[in-house]
Amino acid sequence: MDDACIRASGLNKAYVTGDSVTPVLQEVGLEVTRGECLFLVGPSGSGKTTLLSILGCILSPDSGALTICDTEVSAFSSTEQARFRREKLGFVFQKFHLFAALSALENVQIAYALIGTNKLESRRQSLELLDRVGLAHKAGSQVRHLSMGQRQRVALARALAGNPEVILADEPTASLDAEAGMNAMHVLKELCRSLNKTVVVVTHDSRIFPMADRILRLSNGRIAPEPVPETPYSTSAA
Amino acid sequence: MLSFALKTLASDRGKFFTGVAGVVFALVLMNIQGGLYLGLMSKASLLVDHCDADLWVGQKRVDNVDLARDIPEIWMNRIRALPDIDRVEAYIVGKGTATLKGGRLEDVWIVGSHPRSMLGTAWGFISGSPESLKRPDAVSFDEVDLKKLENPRVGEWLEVNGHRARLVAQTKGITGFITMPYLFTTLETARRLSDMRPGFCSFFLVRAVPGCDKERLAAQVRRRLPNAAVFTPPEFARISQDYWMERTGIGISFGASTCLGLLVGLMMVGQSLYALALDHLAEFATLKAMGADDSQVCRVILIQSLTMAGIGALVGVLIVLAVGKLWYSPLAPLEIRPSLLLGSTLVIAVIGLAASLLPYLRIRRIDPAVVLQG
Ligand SMILES: Nc1ncnc2c1ncn2[C@@H]1O[C@H](COP(=O)(O)OP(=O)(O)OP(=O)(O)O)[C@@H](O)[C@H]1O
Ligand SMILES: [Mg+2]
Repeated sequence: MDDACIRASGLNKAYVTGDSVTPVLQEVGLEVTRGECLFLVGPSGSGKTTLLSILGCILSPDSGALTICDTEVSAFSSTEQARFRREKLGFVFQKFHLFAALSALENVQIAYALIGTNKLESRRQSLELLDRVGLAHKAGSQVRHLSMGQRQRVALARALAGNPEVILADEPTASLDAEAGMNAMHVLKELCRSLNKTVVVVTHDSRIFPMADRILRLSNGRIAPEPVPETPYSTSAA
Repeated sequence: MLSFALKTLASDRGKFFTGVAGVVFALVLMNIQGGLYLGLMSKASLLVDHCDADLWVGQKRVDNVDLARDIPEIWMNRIRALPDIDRVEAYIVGKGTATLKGGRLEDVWIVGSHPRSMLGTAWGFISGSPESLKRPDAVSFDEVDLKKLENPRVGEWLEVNGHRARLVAQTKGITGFITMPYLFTTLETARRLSDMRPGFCSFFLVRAVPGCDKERLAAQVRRRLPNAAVFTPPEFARISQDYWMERTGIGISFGASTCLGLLVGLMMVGQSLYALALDHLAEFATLKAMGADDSQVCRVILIQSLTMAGIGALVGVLIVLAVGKLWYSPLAPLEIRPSLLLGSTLVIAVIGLAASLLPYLRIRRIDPAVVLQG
């Protein structure tokens, strides 16, 4: 066992629609260390979401090897993928995708329900997570009564529910204004660092680049070779 | 999971109420249709159901209590001595034609009981009593038939098959499958009014010694009367009902309309569940992205559909019970049976399960990847 939490090599993925085949990822390889916060950036259509979906065991690569938390997942069946997702992975989406009829607390609890945690325990842990994202006072609120920034923090608490190893976020700030976006990213970054979670963030938002431990640029379905010149996020300076 | 299923369901009142209304509709329809059918069928065995006999003995080929065939009274002697028999009495169910005041003719049943016990006579008296039927030429008539008999009053005379009969008693709620008026009286009067041959009657009514085995007694009677048909009351009631059921196809028409009702109910529940699922496709996709497997998704839909089925069934049962309480119509009696209520509730549960199939299949097809691409 080494320190790499995610290790991918030679990943290929093409979308087939009818007769046309669109190659999206070509020979993508990457490693993410345990506890690292990696940003995936690149132009629109370069394959960032596709790569994140593969890392998130939502899509299967056409070929290549992918190991997450010492488990080879590239050949998983969809049932195995689902099980792996609910046990090891947490997702944060651009559009939050909270459950509209439920309160903030229930939105977090549902992640525990999926892994079979009992009601009492899931309630306790969900409240604790909401507290850590600064929303303990909104636990009982319907999510439609929350601001966008608050919704994204509920989604973050939900992603962390059940103690997953890896948090995957696709454009987590794209639906938020500048301040709320920064705030949500701060919470994500700090919380994951203190809980030692591995984080992969896909983003266009250059304002948050400084929060990355490392940035990988995707271009035309390949990892760009040159290092990205942005200054790394320094926690000691914060 | 439970609260997700229920709160999502509750958040869309329109679909929720449509689904519940579908269930209520299907359940009420099943019970009212079924109850009317049972009520109608019970009219076919009216005389048997209201008679306190332990065995009915009739002509070999008799297949309906109203359409009796004559048997010789002398046969009674062959079974009288059986130790389990308390008494045997002749009983007449005959036909006659009444000539009414205005000259119109009306066919009637004439039912004659042995005056000692008046076994098998009328019930539900609103004036007079079985006792008054023992007077010479006395017969009863029913309120239901007032119009058919041109509004006679107690004390008036009626001409039946050219003989005079006196209306001495009035009953309420006695009407049979063919809706011909029943005139109840004694054996002697019935014999005269129906022109029954001397020495013959329609049935023997057997009263057994208390506590004896009726089936065994029936077997003994059969052995002694090989040319007669011997029935226990439930047997004879069923045979009389089957007679009309087979000849009229009434079961098919009731069954078909009930099935149609079920189909409508199923479609209402299915449609509202499916629409609900379509409205929440993104949420189901999110659940799947979070790692929910098919059985967990299935559970959400089942909880929703069975909740609608359960609430609908509860409301439906209450409505059926209320309707059963308020319903009064001797021509179309409604028989609410607990077994039918229970059975229809089970059918509702099956409808709930069937209705969840389509939305389930739709949700199974969702690719969780859409959550990231959306
Ligand atoms: N389901 C699909 N079927 C066919 N083609 C697809 C599908 N999903 C994505 N693509 C194509 O694959 C390519 C990469 O898509 P992807 O969503 O991964 O890009 P992206 O880098 O996330 O872009 P953006 O920054 O705009 O979100 C695009 O050209 C897109 O049109
Ligand atoms: Mg994208």
